[in-house]
Amino acid sequence: MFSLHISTGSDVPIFRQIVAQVRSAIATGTLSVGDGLPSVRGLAAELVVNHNTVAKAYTQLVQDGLIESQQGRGYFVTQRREIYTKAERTRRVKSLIEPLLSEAKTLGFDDEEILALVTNEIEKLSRKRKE
Amino acid sequence: MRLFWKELRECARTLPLAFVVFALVWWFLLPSRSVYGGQFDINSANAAALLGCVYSLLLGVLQAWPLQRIDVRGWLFSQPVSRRRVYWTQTLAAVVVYMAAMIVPYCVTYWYLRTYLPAMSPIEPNAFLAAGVAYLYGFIMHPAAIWMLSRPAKWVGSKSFTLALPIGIFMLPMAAIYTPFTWLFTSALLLLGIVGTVSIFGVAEDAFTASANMPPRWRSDTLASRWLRRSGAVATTIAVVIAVWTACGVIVSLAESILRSPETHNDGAYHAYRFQPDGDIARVKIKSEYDPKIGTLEKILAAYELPATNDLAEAKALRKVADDSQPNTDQEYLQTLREGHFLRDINYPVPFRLFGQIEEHNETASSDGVVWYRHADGYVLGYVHDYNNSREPLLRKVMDRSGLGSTNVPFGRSHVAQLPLHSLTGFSIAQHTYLFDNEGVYDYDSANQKLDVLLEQPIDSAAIFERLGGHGWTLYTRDGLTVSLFDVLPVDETTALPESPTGLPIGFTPELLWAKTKLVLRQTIELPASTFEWADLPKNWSQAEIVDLGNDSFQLVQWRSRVGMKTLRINDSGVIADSEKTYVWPRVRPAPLSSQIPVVLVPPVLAAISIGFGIWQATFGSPDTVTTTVEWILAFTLLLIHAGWAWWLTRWACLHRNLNDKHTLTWKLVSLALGIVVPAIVLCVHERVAVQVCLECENRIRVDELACSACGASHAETPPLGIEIMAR
Amino acid sequence: MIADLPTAIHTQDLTRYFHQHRVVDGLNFAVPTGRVTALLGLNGAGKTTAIRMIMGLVCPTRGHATVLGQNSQQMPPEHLARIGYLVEGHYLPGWMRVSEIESLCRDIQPRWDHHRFAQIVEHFAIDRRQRCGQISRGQRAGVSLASVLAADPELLILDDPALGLDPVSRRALNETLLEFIAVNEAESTQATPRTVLLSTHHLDDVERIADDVAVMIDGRLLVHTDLADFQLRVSRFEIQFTGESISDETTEIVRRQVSGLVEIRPIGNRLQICVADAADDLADRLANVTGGDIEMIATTLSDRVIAYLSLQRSSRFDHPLPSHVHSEPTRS
Repeated sequence: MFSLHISTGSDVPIFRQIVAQVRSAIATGTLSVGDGLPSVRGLAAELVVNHNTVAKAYTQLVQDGLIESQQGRGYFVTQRREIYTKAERTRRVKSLIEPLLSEAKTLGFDDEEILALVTNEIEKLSRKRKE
Repeated sequence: MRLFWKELRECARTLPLAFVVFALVWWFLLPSRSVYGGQFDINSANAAALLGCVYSLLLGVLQAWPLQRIDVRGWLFSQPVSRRRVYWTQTLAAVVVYMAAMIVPYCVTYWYLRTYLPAMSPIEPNAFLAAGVAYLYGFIMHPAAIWMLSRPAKWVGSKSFTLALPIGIFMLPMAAIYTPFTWLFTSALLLLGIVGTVSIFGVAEDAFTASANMPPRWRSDTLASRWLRRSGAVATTIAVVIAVWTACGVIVSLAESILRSPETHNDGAYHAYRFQPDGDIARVKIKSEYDPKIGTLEKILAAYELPATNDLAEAKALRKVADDSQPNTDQEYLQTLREGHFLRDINYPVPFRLFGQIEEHNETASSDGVVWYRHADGYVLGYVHDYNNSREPLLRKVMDRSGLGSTNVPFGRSHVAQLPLHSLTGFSIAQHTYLFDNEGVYDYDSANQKLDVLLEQPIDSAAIFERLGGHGWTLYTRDGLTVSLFDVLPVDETTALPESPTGLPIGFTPELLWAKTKLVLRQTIELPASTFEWADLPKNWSQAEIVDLGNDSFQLVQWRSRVGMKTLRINDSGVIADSEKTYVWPRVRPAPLSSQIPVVLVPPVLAAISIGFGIWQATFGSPDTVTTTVEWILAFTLLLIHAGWAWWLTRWACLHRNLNDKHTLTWKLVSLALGIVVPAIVLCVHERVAVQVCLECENRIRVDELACSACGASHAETPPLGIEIMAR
Repeated sequence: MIADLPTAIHTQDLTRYFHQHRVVDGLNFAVPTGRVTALLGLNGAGKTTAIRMIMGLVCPTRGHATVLGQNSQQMPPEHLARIGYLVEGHYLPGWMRVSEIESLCRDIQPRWDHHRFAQIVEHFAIDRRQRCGQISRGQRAGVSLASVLAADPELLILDDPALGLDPVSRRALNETLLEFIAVNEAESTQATPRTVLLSTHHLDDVERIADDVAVMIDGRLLVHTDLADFQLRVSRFEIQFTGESISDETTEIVRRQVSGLVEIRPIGNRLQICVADAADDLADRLANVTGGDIEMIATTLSDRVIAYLSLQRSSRFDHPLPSHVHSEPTRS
């Protein structure tokens, strides 16, 4: 079941937290194409946050092309569309790889081990998808 | 409606206390209603005015005090109810509670007293008009309290000073009634009182609705400033009236002192009728003077013999008789006292035809200027007093047993303190005076200083009469319910007892016993058991009198304070002719409406008026003493200096409070009339305004002014930095 | 300034002195309609006085406030009915029962919704027969809130509603407030949007509830912006130098180069700086000027608020007249 958790007092604004968690849910397959998202009002009440915050997060997700709004029915996970240039996408992923590598190095992993871990995770993800 | 209930319930919390206090007041006042009508009117109006003032002040403070807290005010004023409505709801609730506090205890007390107080008469509207109106008028302190607490002021004194205005307004009609001036002046004061009463509600309402802790802003035409201006106008009017009053008083008194002729100048002497030492009556001109050693002395300036016809109108043409008999020194004065040559005042009115009076008091016996004191062991001390001022004994006589007369009976062996030696015959100038106590009757021979026992029997009260019923000189004694009547006969058969002089005012205690007398029992009468019983409040004092009814009977009259009168008629043969009759005191006819007005407007405080009057008196002196022009000029100069000083100080105070020219002028004019209290008033009434220093010219300017009044530099600040624009 | 947005509250040069002390100083402030604005600031910053002037409880010494199109000093009862105001400390007459409060409010409020009152009172688990003086502070806050919200106001002004409340009551308060403003959502059919102005010290609540943030200090409005935008307003950098320690000259250079500097703190050979309203190229410029290695550090909401408050404070300590020191922030 898809559920969201937010925390206040964090350095990430609440709407970013929502965006990140929906993204990750889509990435992990918890949410698949065509799945509905909670309504803005419902989610706002559930998380005890301002509905504008939720709406802002959903708007962000719509802009990123992850979900779409269907008039009168709510928000649904959509087919991923290419909304960023290749260079931009590369930059975004790169920025996430850098901390991974530095952390792994610090913890004493060598290059093969790191690669093996990544490959393992990729396989897990694709197995999940198939199910 | 709910708001009203809320306010009502908050006010009603004071009701139990109010009920108790009011009920107590009525409990003490009501019984006197039937007996002393006029007295009751005044007392009840005074009490109602005082209670009303205090209670309405309390209610106002209770309502306005919580609103001093801004969160309470915020809660109340953020409700969608206009503040005006809140104010009038509070006032209405206070009125309801206020009236209940008056009416309920009255009704309960009345009903309770009526059950056993026979004298209570039904409610008469007129009798309560005075108290009712005075009480209603006392409600003026409620808006005063609201105003006091709502108006912007920080200092407690400056807040409470606000009460001076309503108190002044409350006093205006009182002053009109109590100061004997012209009807014009009276009506002007009454009018001012009404205007002030109405305006105080408006002022209070306005202060309440604007209670925002704001320094007064005269320039913006807020409602507050309008009301303040109006009240300023009222104050100015009052001041003008007072000033005109003062000026008129000065002019009138000056004119009087100039025009008054020396002949009509009052030297304090007065005329009266007095006994002369030889028993005749003369008309005398007397002046009372105070001697620090002796007390008040009556100096007889002149005495005139009365004509045989007793025509007082002719007295003026009579010869002088007493010039040479005036005491000039203390010794002479004492001599006069001792020899019984003192001229007695006979010029007093009496309500009943009193022959002898049975008084129940336990102080002293007086005779011949001698005051008797009794010691527990039987010694008797006699002091010669100046009986006008009997604080200092002037002479002491000691009478021991050997001096107590021929019987040598120890005097007062078992005396109770309640009835000491008591004179039966007043302040006698005769040689023989009758004295009595609980154990007997004595003859005091003032020339030989001897006390003879005439009668030995228990006595509760006694009296002596020149005539009683069909008999001549009679001694009446009573012991419990037993009455004994004695004939008073001369020991020497050839000497007749003297007759009282004819033409005297009635009700004169007999005293003319010149001869030695004896007592012969004439008859004994048993009074009915119920004679001295009263079914009423036990604490009321009572008094009994014997009234001679003429040839065949006399009457025992008892009257009981606040309750009524009982009579018992006894005829000459000692039979009780009439069964006892009880008269409840007749109900006092309600005073006509016109005479009630003064009572209606009884002032609780007349202090300010009297102080003002006192200042005026002290400044100008009483008209009688305005004798030299120099003194008057000095006083007038002092007044001018005082006024100038007040003017200057007021100007300074107004500057400090940053008042505008118009108000400064008004206050200055007021200061001319009221003197140096005005600057204090200005400092109290007006709040200090926040000022800042002008950056251009370094003058102090008000913070709410956008331009410097001195140099004109603009002080409208540029919008402060950091103002953020919504970025979305 | 905020002309493009409809405003529920608008103040113009709002100033209030208490005697010689200036509590609110030329406040120009606007609360946009349909949004939740949180007013932040230190104690004594003038928030409460500003709110009282907005409610017409205190007269401004200068300037004026317009509330729902009406001068705040002359609000008639029918206008007050459109405004809900929760006083600081949740005052209610202590002797009145909760049910009596309800009947009093029902009597004077034109649009009273007793279902909503009942709902909120239940939410706070309050016994209606109890007297207001006997219930807990949280419950009193609930009754106050219920009596205000059941009147269906367009504008809600809350003066430190969370003051002295336990976490449970605070959560209930937040939920109730969110439910109140939920009708603003586009899908709703509610015609009049609901606006909220609240002053608070609880930044968690602000994060959850508020759309906009305004920060007051010393009676002045320092910043007023969107909550998310506020994030971008304060940046924290760390400059790593190669040497052992940092010379005073370097610090001085940074001080001069950076406008809107909140805090500068040397730690060993690193220099931590906090900047409000940093320019986009600030990082590059710093790198050029100092020759150090620049790293950006993430900030939380409380970091940002504290940064702003200390910005004013530090400049106040350095210079007697803060307005001359602090340059006007640029529009972002």
